[in-house]
Amino acid sequence: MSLASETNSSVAQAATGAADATWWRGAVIYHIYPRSFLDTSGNGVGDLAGICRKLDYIAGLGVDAVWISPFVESPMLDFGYDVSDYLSVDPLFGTMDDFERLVSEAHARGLKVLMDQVLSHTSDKHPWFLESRRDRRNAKSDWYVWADPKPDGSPPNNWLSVFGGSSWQWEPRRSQYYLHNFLRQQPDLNFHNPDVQEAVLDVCRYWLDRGVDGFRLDVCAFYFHDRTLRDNPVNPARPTGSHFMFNPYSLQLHVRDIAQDENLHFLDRLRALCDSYGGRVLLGELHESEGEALHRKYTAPGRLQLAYGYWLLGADRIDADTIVGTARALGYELDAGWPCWALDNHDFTRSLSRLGRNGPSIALTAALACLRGAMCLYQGAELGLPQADVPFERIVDPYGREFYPAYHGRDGSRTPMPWDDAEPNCGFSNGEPWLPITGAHSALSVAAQERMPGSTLNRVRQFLNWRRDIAPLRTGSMAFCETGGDVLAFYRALEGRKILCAFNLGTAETELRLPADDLGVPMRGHGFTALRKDGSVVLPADEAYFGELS
Amino acid sequence: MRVFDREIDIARAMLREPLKPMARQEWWRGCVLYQVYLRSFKDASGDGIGDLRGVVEKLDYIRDLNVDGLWLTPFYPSPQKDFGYDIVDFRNVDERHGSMEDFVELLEEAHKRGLKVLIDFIPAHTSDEHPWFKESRSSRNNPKADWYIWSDASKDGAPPSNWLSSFGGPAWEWEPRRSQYYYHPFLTCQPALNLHNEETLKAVLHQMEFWFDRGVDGMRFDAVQCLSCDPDFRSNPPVSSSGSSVLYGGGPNNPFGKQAHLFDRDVPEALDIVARMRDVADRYEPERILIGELADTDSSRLSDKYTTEGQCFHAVYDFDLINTGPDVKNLARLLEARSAFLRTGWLMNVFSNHDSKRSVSNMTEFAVDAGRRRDAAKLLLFMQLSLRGGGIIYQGEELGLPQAEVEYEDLQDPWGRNLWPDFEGRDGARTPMPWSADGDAGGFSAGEPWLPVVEEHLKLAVDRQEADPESNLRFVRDFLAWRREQPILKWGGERVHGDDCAPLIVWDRYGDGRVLTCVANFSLKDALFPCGANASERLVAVPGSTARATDHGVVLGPLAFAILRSKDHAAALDSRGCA
Repeated sequence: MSLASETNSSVAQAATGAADATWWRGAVIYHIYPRSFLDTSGNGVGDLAGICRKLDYIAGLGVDAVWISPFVESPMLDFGYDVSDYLSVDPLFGTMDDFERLVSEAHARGLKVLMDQVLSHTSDKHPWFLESRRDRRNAKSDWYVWADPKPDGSPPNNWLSVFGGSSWQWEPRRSQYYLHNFLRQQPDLNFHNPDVQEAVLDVCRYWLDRGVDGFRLDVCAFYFHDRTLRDNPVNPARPTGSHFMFNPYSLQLHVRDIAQDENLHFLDRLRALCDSYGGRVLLGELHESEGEALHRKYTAPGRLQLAYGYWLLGADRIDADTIVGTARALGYELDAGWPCWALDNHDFTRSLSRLGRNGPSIALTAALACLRGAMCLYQGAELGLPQADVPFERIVDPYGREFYPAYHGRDGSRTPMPWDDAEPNCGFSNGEPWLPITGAHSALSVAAQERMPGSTLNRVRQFLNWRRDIAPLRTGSMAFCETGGDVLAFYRALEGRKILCAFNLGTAETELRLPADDLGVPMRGHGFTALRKDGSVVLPADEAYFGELS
Repeated sequence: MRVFDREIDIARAMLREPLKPMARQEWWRGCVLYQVYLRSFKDASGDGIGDLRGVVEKLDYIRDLNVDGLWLTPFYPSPQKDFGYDIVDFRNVDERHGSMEDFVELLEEAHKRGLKVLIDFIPAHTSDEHPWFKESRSSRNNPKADWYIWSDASKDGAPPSNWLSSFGGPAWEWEPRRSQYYYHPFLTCQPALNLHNEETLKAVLHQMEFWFDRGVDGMRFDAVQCLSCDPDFRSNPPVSSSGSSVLYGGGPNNPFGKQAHLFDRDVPEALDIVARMRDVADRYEPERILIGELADTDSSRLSDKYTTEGQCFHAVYDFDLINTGPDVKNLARLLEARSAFLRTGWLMNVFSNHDSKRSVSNMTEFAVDAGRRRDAAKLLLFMQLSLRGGGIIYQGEELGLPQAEVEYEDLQDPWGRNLWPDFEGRDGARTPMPWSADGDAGGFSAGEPWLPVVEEHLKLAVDRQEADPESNLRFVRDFLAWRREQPILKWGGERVHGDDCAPLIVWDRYGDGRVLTCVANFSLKDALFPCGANASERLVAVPGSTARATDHGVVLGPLAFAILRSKDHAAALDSRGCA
């Protein structure tokens, strides 16, 4: 017992001992989907030991931190986003020892570790829910959102599940419905109950004690619902765009079921807890509707340090205007909150395919890394992986199975990392991988790209390592140049240093014209090759320019 | 142009003078059918699931019960999410259950033994894996786009109405390929067919012809209350605060029971569809019969609607006797209403089937608890087969099987899994037949049976009961042999004496100037039926009856029954002894 606590406190010290409590400003966070990263046990599913084994690879990318998708105990109906024990490691992924080793090994390499916390809901197999569902009088009877049926027996209101259908499920043991914003096997916790808030804060405390540097908060505006269960109003602007049309969810304005004011107060409490440890970070996931306004509220001082929305993750087209418009909407004045830019994650079609590009855009990745904010780099994005084509028979994502073929689900962005095309299963696993690795992916394996000097991996790695130590690109203020078209250009300035960053996000060569004094002295070492002339920079497609102003 | 209206239908049915006793002597009126729940009857292949060859092996057993025929539950190819009531091919046999050759053999062998064969037909929904539905769901403009019941979302994205599935949860499921909801009154994987589309209806009628052409004698139609639904998808109101005469399954709190099902069950639009189905049956010689399963409505009073003057369905059967509960007075009142409201139609008596609890456990738990299971089972069978309408004996009822206790972990029934523990589902009545007390899985299968054969049932196995003259099985054989010679029990009129006789239930069957007064003692005490001094002359020698004539009348021991004869209806009325 004493040995364990000693270990914990020394791990904790390693975290708090990190140099700068604001390390997260301008950080690049490598997002690991553990099921698909590296499998050392041979069961076809990645594990914590696999992450440990690849920490040198990750650190070598020039990133500052990792965010690990859920690895705690779960029946895996939503692949870990349905937690049945918050204080454990699912045997599929390893043991608590594996996790503690991972944290200390990561810290030894200067990498921070962010853990995914899914607090809005649990699995229906969680002991809290098993107790709560039993009857109306048990100690946890109010820990979830229970409601009587309407007089006609139907659900209490019109709320819909993100995964399709009514968000209310009948429970005969109580003769009541319970709320589930996602799968019916994911009942929503009732955050109006103070005991629930205490319980989830205890969960966070448990992991902070084990040395994690912060949390990525799953759907962090979904914690509270309208207590009086009023209907959501109809969405007057019927949404367009293929991505959301397959789902009736977008026909409502989600003003009653989620994003309630009480949500912010809880985040304040969570932030205060983190601050009591020092240097711990909260990265929140925000849903899409009204996302910019939410972002401003949720990243205000004392709340989330970082948040990401679906602005670029869900976009079918990204140009300079998209990015400038988003940055303006989110705000980048000195006291504004910090967005976490992301092109890819485990919930969205990989950007290469989504944006309809022929090849990866290194300039776009570099641009996001240089914008004011942090950035998430999703595993495989450094390889320029396209969306994997998973045949229907192999689809395991419940979201995809529900809406196929209008929507194929998320499996195509969750297939295993191709480490080495010379190895069976690309070196991911000695067993049968839980999702297939496609031929297109194996051709882009890490080993293959290591051998090619100009490969996406080598370019991204070079760039992120270059950027890592340039303070203005991490924490400087930001000002956009009026460029228009395919060129995105902005200045980052800090303590007398000022750097021009310019990117051609288009497919044709173009020129950025600015007074010579504003172009600065070309910087070297980042791997881009744009040519500075007098009064302009020639930017070939997918190229970038960095100039330091004196 | 027909005006569709519930009240008009009811009024039309009620205008009829009651059927004259003994006037219509078709074989199916007053017949006794044996329901074979195929999955659990007899497994000849050893895969743990009953099959058609198993039924062939046991045809002699069925014949020896002295029933008129059998109803075979679904054998069609199916993903078995609802155990065969989710069909993917109407014209074939699921390989789990055998082959088309097996079916043809079964039909021939049954006919050789003088047994009629009715098959189960599911006219109003298919499996979501049926090729029709796969095509229909693929887009809004495919050739089968209108074959199922589709609707746009409400403006707020919610389903178009408040309709609920009787298995729990909303009855509408979103289909992203069409950005529309489809309607499913039962499981999500059982989309409802749109039988108002002429093409769809014709396709269904062709499936009926396929089987009639092969010689089946009739069909049991599944869930005929769902043949149609309101064309405007109007929402149902809640049940009236004064209550409802409709009895629902699914446990006491099933939210389905909180609505008055005005618009999703038993709608007037259905009757034209039934008439078209009847036309198909009528084109065959000898006539093929259609028996409708009618639920979720006041079937005791509305059965005439679906069977008036022998039109539409030949007969319906329902769940009211099953759902009425153990109270004798309630049962008596229900029987009275059924008798009074049935005018020219035909309603068969069902005390148990694969969708309900075993009858002794459901209706006479007091007797089972007192160790009188065997007598209670005899009493119920006597009653079922002496009431007007004849009956359908569910497999195992001839053995007096009690409800099997199936652990939650072993539950297979999706209805039970949805509503447990409020409603334990239907598995407890679906466990395999115990053929021999000592054989593998009770002689049901050489393999691992899909549901366990419970210990309690092994003691009641067929081989044990054949050897025991007092057994339920021997009683059923004897009683049905005797009943064959009692035309009044088949075709006679009926009058129920009402709840003031409780715990006795008393009813008259009459015709051709004769009356048979039936008496059943629903208690564990002796009861006197005072019928005057000539009781001994009037007492009929009914197999299994232990009633004794005394000077004051007939004494019935616990759970005993009797039949008394008299000359005419008026005499019977005079003799009723209940105060």
